[in-house]
Amino acid sequence: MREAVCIVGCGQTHHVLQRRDVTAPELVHEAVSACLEDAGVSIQDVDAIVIGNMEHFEGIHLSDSYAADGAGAFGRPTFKVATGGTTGSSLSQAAAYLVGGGLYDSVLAVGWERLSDSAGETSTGIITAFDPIFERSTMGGAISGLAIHAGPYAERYGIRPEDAAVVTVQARQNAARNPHAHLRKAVTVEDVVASPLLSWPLRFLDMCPTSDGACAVLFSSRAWTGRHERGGAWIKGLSSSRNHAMLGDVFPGTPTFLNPLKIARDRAFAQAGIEDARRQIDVVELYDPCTYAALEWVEDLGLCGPGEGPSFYATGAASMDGDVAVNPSGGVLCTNPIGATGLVRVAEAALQVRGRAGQHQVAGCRTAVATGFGGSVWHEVMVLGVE
Amino acid sequence: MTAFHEGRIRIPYKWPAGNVGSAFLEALADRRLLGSRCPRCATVYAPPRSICLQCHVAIDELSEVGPHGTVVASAAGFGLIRLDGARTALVHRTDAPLGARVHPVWSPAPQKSILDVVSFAATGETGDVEYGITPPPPRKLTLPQPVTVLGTACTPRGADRSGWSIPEMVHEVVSDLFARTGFKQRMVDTVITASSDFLDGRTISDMAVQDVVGAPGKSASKVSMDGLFALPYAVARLTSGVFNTCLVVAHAKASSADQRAISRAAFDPILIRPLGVTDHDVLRLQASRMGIADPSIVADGDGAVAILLTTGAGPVSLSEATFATLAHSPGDWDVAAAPGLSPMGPSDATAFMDLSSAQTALWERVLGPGTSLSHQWGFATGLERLATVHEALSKTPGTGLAHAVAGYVGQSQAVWRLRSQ
Repeated sequence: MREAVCIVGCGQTHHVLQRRDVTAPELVHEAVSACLEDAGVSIQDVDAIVIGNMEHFEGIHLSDSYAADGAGAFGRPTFKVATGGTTGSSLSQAAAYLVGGGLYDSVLAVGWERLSDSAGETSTGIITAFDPIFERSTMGGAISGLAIHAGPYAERYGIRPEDAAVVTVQARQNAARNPHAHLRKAVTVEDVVASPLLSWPLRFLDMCPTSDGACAVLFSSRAWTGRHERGGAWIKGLSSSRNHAMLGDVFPGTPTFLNPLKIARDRAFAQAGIEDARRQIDVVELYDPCTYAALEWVEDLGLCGPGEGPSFYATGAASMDGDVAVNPSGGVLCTNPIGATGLVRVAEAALQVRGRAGQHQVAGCRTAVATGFGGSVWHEVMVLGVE
Repeated sequence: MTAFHEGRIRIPYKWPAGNVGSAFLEALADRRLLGSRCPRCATVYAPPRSICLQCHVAIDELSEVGPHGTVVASAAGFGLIRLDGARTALVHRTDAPLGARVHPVWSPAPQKSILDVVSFAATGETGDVEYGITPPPPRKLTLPQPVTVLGTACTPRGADRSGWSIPEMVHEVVSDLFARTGFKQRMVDTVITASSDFLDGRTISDMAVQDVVGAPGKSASKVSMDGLFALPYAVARLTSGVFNTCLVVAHAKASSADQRAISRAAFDPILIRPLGVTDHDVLRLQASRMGIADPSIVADGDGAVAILLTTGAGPVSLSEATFATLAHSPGDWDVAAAPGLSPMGPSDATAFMDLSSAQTALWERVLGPGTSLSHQWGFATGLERLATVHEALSKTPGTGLAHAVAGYVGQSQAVWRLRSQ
């Protein structure tokens, strides 16, 4: 990057199933105000804003200007980035490039979603991501899309439902210490494997929830940071990659298959000088939409070998005091306001590096990785570290 | 040729009004109109806002405004009405002309909805037509290094693409761009697309085009705004030093859906949407305030635009820009004053995104004379404007301005300066 980029402020709402007491701009205002307070600055110190949500979940067209008052966008350059599940991570990358490319000194990234506004029809908003002629009539939204990847993965390595359930059990334990998390009640392996089957092999407690919430993160240049900083997390590497759009093209083993997480990981880790992920990374805030994805993606990140995801979790390597703490916040399995979800990963990773994660702080965290995941198997990776 | 088939879907929505919005709706049942007052700058908003646009502080102080007010814009049965005691204006129904004093006509059966006021009727008097709040002029963005526009390609103007799919339209312009520039997909480092999930009826609308723009495997992204607002991200990816070439692609397909129906979803779901206001209605309101009674409105079309950018100096380059976002409702700021635009100096070739003949006059007032739109291509319109300026500067050296709005009456404004040597 031309300019070094630092995260100097993070704010989020308390994520819950439904926030029927506030409008979307009011929800955004809560997160942005918390972020500015965390950074110790005012909206006047912000040069530009990147904002995003997935508009089919709320039915609001041109939502960037709709949320302008909450975001503090009046009179400011404001750009909307909306890429599906990756929206929040895409916002963080856009903000990082706008600062890193020398265009602006301080850029506020704002992600939000009110999944309760689509009145229980969130999956319907996801079905519209798929080809209107060939795929929409036969696809079941997010759950089946994840299930058709989880099934072959489980088959390949003989992964049992109990192995996957461990991920939810750990996530809930961690979320119990995170006041912003949505699902904080402890569950057992037995609870997960006894929960209703949604789409084989995914059961109800293998899946992330739908949440209402917002998150804001402030990115700044070295010069700006020098004037305002209260302890920042520096961006050491970032990249993204995605697969093809149609589901038949994206299966492991097909000639068109790409592994976007590995591609993005390789680029971001090379920039950050990470050669031994398990040794060099302290915390991963992983975008885990379901348990099986978490198992597969800790492998793809290089934290363990192929097929070793279950033992990585089962032996405690992924726990708060393990080799690499995965999702001290509870992760996506506990909190999922979609347009904010990827940005929450970045905020939580930054809080760890800044030593500001409170009850879910991992002691001595110096390097943290945040990931994002979304439509067409799009993965994004950001590496944060101390200066 | 076989018949063209369609996919359709419906989603129900419900939106909370919040504390301030709920108090406003409750008061309507008592035939009272409430405004909110910012504790810091004392601006009175009506309809009430819960967050001050200017100070970014929460507002909880509500007080009665009106019920009389003044029409500050009026067209096609709709008006902007500044209620007495308020700085901002309410969007509602009225047949009274610009400057008329009005009073609310109440529904006999209130539902705690904006429709509890049936309309605003003239009293026979006239009043002051000033309204709205004003941001400071937008700051100029100067690029840290020049970024060259290597080439542009557009759907042929006037071509009928109604039977084509979106990927087919995009493939046509990307192929044309590569033919013009001698580039190939593998020589492109990164891609930024611009599209609207609403206009396309597709969540993650970039999934429709990602394969034909060569995004898989690359680090690429999407901006969900007009393509001129996507350019800063493309430029930043280049000036960051991480990438050397960036493909920027935008598309729109108006023939896929009723554009007026979609535009209704761009207005506040509680305060404006129940009135049935469309983009054309607010364009007429803006014109009425400028004294233009029957503006011509630009037709929608299907089109795609692709441009290729690289770092370093070249024949035509991007040098500076301004961007500003205002607010959602045309009642919050003066739609006839273009507060998000500021003069950009002399230009040899300017292309506006003027959605109506009134906007032509308005943008011209700030940016000087320029080329008007012949049709609009949704989120691809701004890049088509840039391609138009690029074409002119490729023939005759000089400087040019490409302009776009997001929102219909200038809720967001973008201007890019191009330079040729």
